[in-house]
This record gives sequence, structure tokens and C-alpha cells, in this order.
Amino acid sequence: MSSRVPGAGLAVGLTHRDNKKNTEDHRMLFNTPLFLGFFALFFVLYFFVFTRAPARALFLVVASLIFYAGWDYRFVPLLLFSGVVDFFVAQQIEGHTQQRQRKRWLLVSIAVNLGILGIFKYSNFMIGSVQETLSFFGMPVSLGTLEVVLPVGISFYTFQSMSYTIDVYRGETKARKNFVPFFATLSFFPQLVAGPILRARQILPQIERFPQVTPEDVKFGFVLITMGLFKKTIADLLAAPAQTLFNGDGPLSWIETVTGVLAFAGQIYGDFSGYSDIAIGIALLLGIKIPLNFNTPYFALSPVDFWKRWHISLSSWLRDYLYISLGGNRNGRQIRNVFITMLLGGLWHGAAWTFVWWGAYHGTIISITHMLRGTRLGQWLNGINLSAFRWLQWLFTFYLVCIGWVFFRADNLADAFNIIAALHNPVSGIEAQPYAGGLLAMVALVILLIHCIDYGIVHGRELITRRYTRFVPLMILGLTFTFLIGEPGHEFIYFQF
Amino acid sequence: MSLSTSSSSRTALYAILIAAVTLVPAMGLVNWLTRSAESSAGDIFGIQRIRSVTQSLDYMATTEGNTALFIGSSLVKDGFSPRLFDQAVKEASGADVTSFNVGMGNMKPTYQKLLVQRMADTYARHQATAQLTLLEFNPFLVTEARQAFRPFMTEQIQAVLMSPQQVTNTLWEDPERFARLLSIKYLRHGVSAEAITGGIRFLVTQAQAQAPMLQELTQDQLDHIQQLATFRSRLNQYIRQEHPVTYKSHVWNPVTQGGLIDMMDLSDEARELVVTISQQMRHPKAMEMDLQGRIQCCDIENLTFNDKLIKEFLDTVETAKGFSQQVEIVLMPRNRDWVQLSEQGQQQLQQILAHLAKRSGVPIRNYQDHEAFAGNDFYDVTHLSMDQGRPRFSKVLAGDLAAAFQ
Repeated sequence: MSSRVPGAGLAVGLTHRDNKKNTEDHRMLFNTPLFLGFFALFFVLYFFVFTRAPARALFLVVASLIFYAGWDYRFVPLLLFSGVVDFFVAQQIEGHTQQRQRKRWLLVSIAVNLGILGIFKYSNFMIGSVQETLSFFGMPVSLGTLEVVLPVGISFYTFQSMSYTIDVYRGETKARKNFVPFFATLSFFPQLVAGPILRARQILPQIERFPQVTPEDVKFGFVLITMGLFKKTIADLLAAPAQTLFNGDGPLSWIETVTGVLAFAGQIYGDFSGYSDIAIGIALLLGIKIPLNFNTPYFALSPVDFWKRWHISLSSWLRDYLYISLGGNRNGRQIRNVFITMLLGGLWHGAAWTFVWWGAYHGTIISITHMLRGTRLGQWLNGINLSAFRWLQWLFTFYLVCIGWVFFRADNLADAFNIIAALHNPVSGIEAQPYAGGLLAMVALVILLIHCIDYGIVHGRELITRRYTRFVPLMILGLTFTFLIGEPGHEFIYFQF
Repeated sequence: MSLSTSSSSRTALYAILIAAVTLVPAMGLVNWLTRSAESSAGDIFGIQRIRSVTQSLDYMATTEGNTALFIGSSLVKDGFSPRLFDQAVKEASGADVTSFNVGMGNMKPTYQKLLVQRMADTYARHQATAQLTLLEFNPFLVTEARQAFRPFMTEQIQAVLMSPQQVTNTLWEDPERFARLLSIKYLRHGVSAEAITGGIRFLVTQAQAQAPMLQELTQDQLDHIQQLATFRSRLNQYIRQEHPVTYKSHVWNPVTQGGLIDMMDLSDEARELVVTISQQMRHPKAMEMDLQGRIQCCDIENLTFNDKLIKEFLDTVETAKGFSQQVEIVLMPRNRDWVQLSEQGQQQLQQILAHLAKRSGVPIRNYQDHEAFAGNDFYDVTHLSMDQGRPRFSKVLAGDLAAAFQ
């Protein structure tokens, strides 16, 4: 058992935050004064200098490339390459009438995008896996590793770029003749490094005509940015108890193990939904409307329901471009297709077996949910109209999701299984630290608070923005809290994907 | 295609207005909250003395006559009385000298270096020099363990210590850091977000760590803690009554030349109370817990040194030479009753002192094992006490340095 397994001694929740803090780097993180300065300057130029659509699109491209170069200028050519290839391929697809040739060009796009992903993200994982497999069969070999650095946002923009060529292939959107607006959508800086993953058909028409920004958009944009920062601040606080469990160095009591798992569930939700909200809010200030990426996911009543609420842009992308392409629920292959889709969805998150397991785990529980629906038992369960049963459904779904997070967060599978075992062993005999119960209650409350914010964003837009007497104090309080304890420069978890 | 410019610009102006209406009050609230937390809850962020020292640099640089600076950690702050030192120098050599206590808690060389650089700038601006600068080398503040201890304080202390020019200099090296330092220094009244969250985590960690030990305390020991708290509260009342201006003795003030309130400043009743508190604080259980804390935070027995901190200390010595006619390194007395260096610790210390002597070229006065100091000169395992240790050390030091002022 590695040192990370239910772990750590003292001080549940009191070690340092686990997300990297790049004090040495000049990265364009949303939660830094540097980004605030960048965006303020961009905003003024965008609205007051570049007032014509072509100039504005070009300016958006330049600003996005500066933003991306702020992360790592070496990967700007890669982003450009991906864009140029798909721009060209889309024209070729549209220019051919024969299905075979159209398909061939589509395969070029898919091969290039997946090739880029494969080289930069999965090459060392594959090499390592081959080595381990050969070693397992008594043929130890050393294949070495490639010296590659993962370009930030690569998983997001390659998927987004592919969706454009697939849409053109399917006839759902027209191939563009003008490269600049197309590339402006691909490199759109608010969502470039960690999504949401946009479809060309969602955003391209907006970038081409730059719709008017309304005061309502502005207010809601501010709500999203403020609440996103607020959620991120809370997520950073939850990182500590999660780290104590996943990176600790001693056995933890049952209550502390539960706290650690819950804390990570809250952390990843606050962190990623916070990032998404900020990205969507910034886009809204520019008049670009992006659909919400989260909808109170931990209120889900089944694994299927969870994936309709969690990282919606990815799950819908996987549904539309992978699951449907595999045949969807036709020909009685729904279970197989669901499983493959979720497995690859897991792998999309990272080149590690823990992510493959996480995907496979979700594929399994979603498949079981689908299978159950077709049975008498499933129909009977579905017919129960008791609120107590709904609560049980919710609790069980949340439990299943939390188990999944253990695979997602653990360093390796052995650690994950050990933590899951510890989670189910309330009589381990390990004594909890003082105040462990209080910390568990706090973590649970904080997760609830993030959901309340999410609920307000999804359902209370009008209520929040209609009156200044509500809107302004809420913004001031949210920003005050964020500025007061929000440590600037903490990376968002999804940047690593 | 031209966009509807006027409408677009109007909405953009509206957005800027909304940003101003929400951001400015939020920043104001942050400033007010940090400011009021500091003023109402005392020095909870550990920066009041640092700030007051930086605000007093001009005063020190423009003081007429022979001046001596003693720059160091809380061991210097608590263990050195400038007024007793000056008096003892006068008695020993007849020389008039004005010394200043520039000791501050947490003053590892990283911070010492910044402070001394700022002092150099101040003395250069006034075209003045100090006659003598003593730089404390505190072995347990240059260890690897100490370097890793409470990292959340680093940015905050540096922001407070840095001059506006030093902050500006970070702009081209690291704009992100520049923005952070600027925000901490001017918007947040010197209190960083890390200090708030890290401080809370640290306190809770401490509470969790101490909880088992506290559970083991006997009723006598608990009574003793309670009694000590009562005594301290009474002493604070005395000090407030007797010194309404300088009662916040951790804040640097010219009246005490940066030193803390001394026994001679107090009434008989208050002095009696100080003696009682010193005795009570030396309770074996309290000392044992303090020692454990020092071992954990600072590796006080084995002293595995951090190279970066050693280099920063040597840089500090070099900078001090620029504004001081004479520079010396001082090691404060060690509480040998409680802090016993391991064999490794002793070797490391000897090696590092030899290294410092060779590289810095300045004298080293090592009082670590000085025979004049015994266990009852300390109020805990490291700090000299107000009633005995401080006056004794100030006089011993004066005796050793008197010749330098003749």
C-alpha cells in the first residue's frame, strides 16, 4: 500500500492545498490580478476600438493567442496547426459530393486531432502500459519515454475542432470560407484552456456577427463570474481535507475517510463549475452566449441523471459525436456503446489507469441503470412516488458518484481500492482526530452551499438580476469573500486535462 | 460589417459601471475588514511590529551620535534592552551610544535581507551610517524545517517589509507577484489571503495536535494554566495603566528604542507580577510542550541547515557593511537546561559558524553556551526573560562591546 492510502495523520483538512500554485509563472489564471488587468484592457479595446466585426474577430484571435502564450508560447503553433487543418478539411468535405471522399477527409481531421492528443497526452501512458504488460508476461523491456509536455487545454480544443468537421460532414453546419472567425471560435480565450467544449454551430454564428450585449447579459455575466470565483475559493478550502486523505501518510479513521472523499467531491465540483461559470460569464460580457456546464449535479437521482447535469458540454459532446456514431441505442447495442463512450470519456480526462477505471465504473453504473429500467423491478421502482424513496435514490446516486471520485483522485488503483475499502469499514479501530465530526459537518455544508449557488444560477437568474437592491449587495458580498480569503493563483483542477 | 457601435459602447460603459460599483466597495470592505481585524484583535497576523519597524527606519538613520542596531528575531526582541545596554556601555567606557532593538518574530534571513536592504537605502538617503550593526544568527531559524514552516506568511511579511521601490522592481521579473504584493501592501493593509486561510488551518492543526496532550494534563496543570492567564491579564492591565502610550510594546517605538517595556518602567506590584509569571511559565510541562513545538517547527536539536537561508544571511551581512562602520554576528544565549544539541546539531553548528566567519569576514559573538546564563534566565525554551535574562544579556553584551564605542 502506498503512502497515500487512507492516510494522514493529524489535522484532517489542515494541510496545504493540493492544487499547484505557480508563483514563479506568469499564467493567465482567472483568479489572478494579471488576468483582471488583461481582461480590463481587452474589454476596452474590444468595445471601443475594434468596433467592426472583421477587426473584432481578428482582435479576438490576437488576444486569445496572447492569453494562450501566457500559459506556454511553445504550443501556440500547435493550436494554429489544429485550426488550419480542420478549417481546410471542412472545406474539402463540403467541396466533395461523394460520400467516400467526404468520409476520407473527415478521417484526416479525426486522425490529426487524435494524433495530436495521442502524441502529447497518451504516448507515455501507452508506452508504460506496453512495458507493464510485457513485463507481466515475463518479457521485461525498456522502451523509454518521450520528452513531451502536455499542452494546456489540448483535450478541449481538439474536441471542439473535431466537432466542427463532424458537423460539416453531417451537414449540420456550413464550412467557413473565412479563417479568422473560425479560428476565433476555436481559440476563444474564456473557454480555451478548460472548456466548456463548444460546438462550432453554437458559437461560430455569434462570432461572425457579434450580437448586441444587453444590460441583462452584463448583469448575469457578473453574477456568473462572481459566483464562479466564490465557488473556486470554497473549492480551494476543501482541497485540504481531500489532500489529507489522498496524499496523507498514515491511517485515517472512518469519519476522516468519509470527510476526505466528500471534500474531494465538493472540491472538484466547486473548482470546475466555478471555472465554467467564470468562462461563461466572461463570454457573456462580450455578448457570446455559452450554455451552462453544470446543473446541480449532486442532486441527481440516478447515474444517467448525473451525467445530464455534470460537465454537460463534455457529456453531450460524447453523446453526439461518439455514442451516436457508435450506433447509440440502436440494434440492442446500447449497453456496449454506453460502456465504450464512458470508458473513452474517462480516458479523455487523463492518461492513467485510474481515469480508465473511473470511466469504466461510470459506464457500468449507467449500463446497470439502463438495464434496470427495462425490467419489472425497474418499472416498479420508478412507480414508487414516495419522497422518502426519492431521498434514498438521491443518497444512493451521490454515494455511487463519490465512489467514482475515489478512482478519479487516487494516484493509483491500489490506493483507490484501499480508500474504498476504508470507506466501508466504520469499525476500523482507528481513532478520529478531535473535531473530526465538526469538520465532516462543515464539508457537507459547504457542498450544499455550492449547490445552492448553482441552483440560484440555473433557476434564479431573474430573481438575482432584476433588482439592483439584490444584485449589487450580492456581488459585493461575493467579491469581498473571494478577495478576502481567495488565494490568487491556485490552478483549476481541469487545467491538467 | 459595422456593429451597432453606440448601443454596444453604451452597454460596455454600463459593464464598466457595474464593475466599479461592485469591485470598489468589495475592495474597500476587504481593506476595512483586514484593518479592523488588526486593530481590534491585536497582532494576529504578526505584522504590526514589522510595519512599525519599517516606519521607524528614518528615525533610526537620523538619530545623532553613535548608534548601534541589533537586528534579529524574537530572541533579540525579547532578550535585548537598548536602554540597559546604552547605560552599561556608558558605565563601562564613558561613551554615549544610542542602540536600537530591531528584533522581530519569524525573522528568518529571507526577511532579514529585505529589511537590511531597506535600511541600507534609508541610510544612503540620509547619507548617514550606523557605528555598529549586530546581526543575529539564529541557528534554528535557518533550518530546512523552519524554511518549510508556515509558508503562508512569506508573501505577507515580504510585502510589508518591501519598500515601494522594491515592490515596483518585481514588476518586470514577475508581474503576477507584483500585483499580489501591491494588493497585500496597499489594498489589504498587509494581510494576505494566505495568512487568513493558512492561519486558520495552522491554529486548528495546533489545536488538534495539542488536544491529546491537553487531555493528559492533570487538574493541577490545568489550574496552573488558568492562573497564568489571570496573571498575564493583570500584568497587561498594569502596563496599560502605567504606560498608556507605549503599552503595545510589540510595536516599535522610539521611547523604548525599539525594545520592550523593561522592569525599570514598572511599578513594584507589576514587577512582582513579572517575576511570578516568569516562574510560572517555566513549569516543566509547559517547557516540555514548548520544546516539542520547537523540534517540530525548527529542528532545534539536529539543525539541518538550509543552504538558501545561509546564503541570504551572508548577503545580509554584506549589505549591512554598506551602511555600518562595524558589523558583527551574534548568537543569542541558548537555554541549555532544555535545548540540547544532538551530536549532528553540534557539528552542523560548528561547521556553519566556521563557514560564516570565513565568508563574511566579520567577528562572531557566540553566547549560545555562555556561562552567565542559566535556565531561570529564560521564560521558555528559547527566549530570555524580562526580569533576569534580558537585563543580564544586555549588560554582558555591553561589557563585551564597550570598547567599540570608545
